[in-house]
Amino acid sequence: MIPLSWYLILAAALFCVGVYGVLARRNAIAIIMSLELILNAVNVNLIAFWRYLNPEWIAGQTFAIIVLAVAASEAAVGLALIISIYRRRSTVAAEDINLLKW
Amino acid sequence: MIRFLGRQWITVLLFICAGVYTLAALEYGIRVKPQPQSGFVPFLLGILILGLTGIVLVRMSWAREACEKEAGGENIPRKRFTVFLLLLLAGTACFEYLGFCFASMAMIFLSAYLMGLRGWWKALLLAVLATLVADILFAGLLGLLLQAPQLGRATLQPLTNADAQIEDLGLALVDVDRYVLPFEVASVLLLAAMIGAIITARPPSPKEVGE
Repeated sequence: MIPLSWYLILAAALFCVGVYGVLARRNAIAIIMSLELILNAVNVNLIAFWRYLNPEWIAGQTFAIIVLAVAASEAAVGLALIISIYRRRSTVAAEDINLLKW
Repeated sequence: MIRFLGRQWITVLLFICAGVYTLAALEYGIRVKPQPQSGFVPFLLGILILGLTGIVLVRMSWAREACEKEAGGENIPRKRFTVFLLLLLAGTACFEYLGFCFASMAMIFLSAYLMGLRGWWKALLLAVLATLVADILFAGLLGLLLQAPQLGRATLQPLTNADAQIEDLGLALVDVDRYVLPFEVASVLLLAAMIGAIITARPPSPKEVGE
């Protein structure tokens, strides 16, 4: 039987990889993928706590479904923005996109 | 007689404080059990700062020797050095009563000041924030993982009537008394995001391209 702490460590590792990707990658698509990793780490935590601590109460699963919907919305808007920016500037490098800097 | 000038004073202070800090951390028993105890992180921090300040001191002494060969001797501030040593002994004696939190803050403040962070308030802010974050991370998260027995021993109960649970989940998402409001909010958010994405990603019209 896998103990609960292994799931928590997996979620923490996923979260750290995601944060590193958001802060260190320069490709905008890679940044959005890292954001998805962060949200999925939250989902792993929610489901693990639900399954181990209170499997009779379905709030954990409900929260996970809502997080999935938010992640889908965020990915859709983010990819649309990236497509729009690529059409205008022919690049998706985050350091070149400085329209909102000033 | 060794002469200490400017930042060398702070470096020596930091070196001795880190030594006392590491010794105090050893008393918290990192070797009592195979898993790290509460003194493990302060011990690592103390060793790290000891090593860094040692390197800085050696480099400073080399630079001073090179300067002395060029410029010749200077006056030796014996009185300042004695007062400094007395203050240092009093300060390190208070460490045990002030606790690791204050000691960590003081050492991070001195480290940041030594590394050339201009303005004492910036170094102080960095020290307070770093101590808070480290306290939350290591005292909270590590303590939760290593010391909370109920999480480590949480047993996996077999799911009774899993099909009924899935059915209950489906019903709960559309039940007026349960989760219908968050479900509808998420649906509207998804719809708005989809329409926004379609409008944002549409190809530019010929008029826009002409401009």
